Amino acid sequence: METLIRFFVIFKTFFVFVLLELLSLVLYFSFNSFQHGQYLNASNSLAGKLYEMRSSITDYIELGNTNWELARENAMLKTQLYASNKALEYFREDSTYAKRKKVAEDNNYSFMSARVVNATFTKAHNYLTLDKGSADGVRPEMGVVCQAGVVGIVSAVSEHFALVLPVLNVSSRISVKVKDKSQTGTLVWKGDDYRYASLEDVPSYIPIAKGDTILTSGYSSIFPEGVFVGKIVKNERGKDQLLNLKVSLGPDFSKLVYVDIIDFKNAEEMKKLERGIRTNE
Amino acid sequence: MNSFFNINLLTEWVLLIAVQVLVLNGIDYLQWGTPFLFILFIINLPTDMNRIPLLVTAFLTGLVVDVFSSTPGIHSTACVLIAYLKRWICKALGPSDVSATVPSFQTFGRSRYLQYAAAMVTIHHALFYFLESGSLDQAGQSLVKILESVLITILLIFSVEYFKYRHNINDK
Repeated sequence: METLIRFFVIFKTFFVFVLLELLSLVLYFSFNSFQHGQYLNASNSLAGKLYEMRSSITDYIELGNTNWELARENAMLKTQLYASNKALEYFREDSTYAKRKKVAEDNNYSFMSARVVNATFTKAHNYLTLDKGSADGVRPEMGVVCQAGVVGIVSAVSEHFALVLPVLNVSSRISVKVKDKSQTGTLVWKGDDYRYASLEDVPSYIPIAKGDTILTSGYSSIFPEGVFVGKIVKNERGKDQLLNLKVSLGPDFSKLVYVDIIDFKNAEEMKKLERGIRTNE
Repeated sequence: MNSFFNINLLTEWVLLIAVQVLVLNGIDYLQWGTPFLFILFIINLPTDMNRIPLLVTAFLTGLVVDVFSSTPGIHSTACVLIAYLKRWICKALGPSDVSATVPSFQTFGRSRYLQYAAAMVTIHHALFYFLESGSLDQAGQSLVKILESVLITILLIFSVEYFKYRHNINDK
């Protein structure tokens, strides 16, 4: 017994070292299951506040770009308004118009604007922090888009902040489809260039050309169908005969300022139903 | 022992972490690696500091930066490792005649200090980027990031230390 105690005393530094390293590694390995590490990520309120303060300063740097984007969006909306006004005139006498209007009102998706207060995009596991949280009705597994396309999925929320797992994270997987080809696949990111992602799970006999548009599939409750994701820029066949599909992403992740969080009102119901099927099998 | 935890040291700790979290973590923007200047705090802790408080200090420092950068456990792992290895790195690369001192250009000499700091920075960054990427799939790319980050961090450390050195000389 005495020898054992002496042993511990002699090597006490080493034991403290091993203990602290183990503690760190436990934190490291348990982070991916988010709920455990709620307070140990940038969505906790202290870090969130601090980043909000920083971004209230640094946002000025991006002001020029933001203005330009808003102006462009304005122009686009005006164009749409004009077009829909025209359509409205056309439909005014049409009896099916009332029916169409009802469909639009039934739409289950609503959008909520949020500001990006912190973002990384050069790591393998990147995250965004948004300034909207559970108090604003944000829940985990809500989709996040911006004007230029899909951004990511909310993975954790605190009262006033939300942490988003963006496309630019090696553990992100988003169900997508090729426009006009009704072929679905999975969008993944390899952790290299923040401008490009890869399209996987597409059978090799499907003809996919450069320039084909990639949209969300709408197969999950997260994104509505048909949100722009990106365009195919490379479709080379690798040595293993598998297609290597490189997708140029719509949003510029290095300059994200404003994003929209998508609220799918029946998400819970859909999930419950799907879970029910799985347990019945 | 208590003399180590004086106000100066605490100010330096807060300052380095604030600069790290608010400024340097954003250097991402240039697609270079990120400099991790805050480990200068661990590098500059007295060489004769009791090693268990040193390990705990390093762990807490890493943990705070981890919380702010959503990299839980990664900085703390790397910081605890360099704190543990610090004594031997000091012995190997530091001055042979100095036993108890706060590392700086004055006490170590410029070239010895930089060698010592470079060794600490390299070990920290290598472990950080290895854990951060989570695998060896992108080893080449991680290596580039490590190299870039190490260079920027050492450059920053040199600037800070040179400034301190000049400041001290002018005071005398």
